[in-house]
Amino acid sequence: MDRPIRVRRLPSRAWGAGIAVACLLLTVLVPVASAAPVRLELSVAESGSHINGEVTWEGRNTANAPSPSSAFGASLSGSFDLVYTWDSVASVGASANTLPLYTISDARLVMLYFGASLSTRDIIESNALPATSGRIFMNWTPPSILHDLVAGTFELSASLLAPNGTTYWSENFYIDATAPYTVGAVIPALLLLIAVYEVYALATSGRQALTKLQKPPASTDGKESTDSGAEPEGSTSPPKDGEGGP
Amino acid sequence: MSAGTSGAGCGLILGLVGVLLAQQFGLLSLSTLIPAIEYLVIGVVVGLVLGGLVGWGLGRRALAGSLPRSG
Repeated sequence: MDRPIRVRRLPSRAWGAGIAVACLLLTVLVPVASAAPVRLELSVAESGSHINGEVTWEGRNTANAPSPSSAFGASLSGSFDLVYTWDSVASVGASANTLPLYTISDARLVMLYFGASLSTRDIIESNALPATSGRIFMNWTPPSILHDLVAGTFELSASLLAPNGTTYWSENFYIDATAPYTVGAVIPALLLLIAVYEVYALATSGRQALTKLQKPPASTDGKESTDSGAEPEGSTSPPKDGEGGP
Repeated sequence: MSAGTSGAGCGLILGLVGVLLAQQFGLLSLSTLIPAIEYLVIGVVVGLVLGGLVGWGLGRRALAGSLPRSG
């Protein structure tokens, strides 16, 4: 006699969980793997150093976007012009005529997600000299994978660094990265599909559990329970289509 | 698997997906690690509890609907 082969299938919920976790890992790990590790120092690192800094994003001051609600809208398919401007401030008690000199050799822009860097852009001035003010221009083109993969609000950190890596000044601001057709990037589209499927599974969970409860227990020798041609008395399993009805 | 457990499983995934979707639609920022993890944990716990309750309720309703009505 042929024994029916029983294939154990993973529950669909496990697939959903797996895909959601994969999305998360993909979003974080792919860009992180392609970017160099970045150490962020978000405060003035050298005691006594005072720099007034300002960054403009496409002509708009980034100080105007300090929170997700005031984020600049941006399509990650394009490129963006940033201008870093800085000038030194006289320390307390010192004459305004004796401004301290600073050597700013690196203007950095970091896009953050889960605390990791999705993308980093550096403008390094190898021949930087000590000065009391300066201006650095940057053109940032986000990696194309970001445009295809993600959307949403992201925090960016703009900073000015000394040749030894010390952060003299930094400012964080937000951009609202838009995907084509709102959900055109891979991650939001996939997440929406998972959400719709899970809502459907939740709505039908009661009926599913009841169906499983009403199923007759499978016989241990692998034979179908229809061998006898009759259902056990008191069975509550629903009649098959076309059977039992008037 | 009971309806409550099944609903809790769905709720867990929905909580996780909901937080990630909120970020993708610009409603939430997941840029910094600690608040991002907190948002995810909160989403998972809320989804687990609400999903479990909804599943349990739907299971009760389905069971009540399948029982023969007396009188």
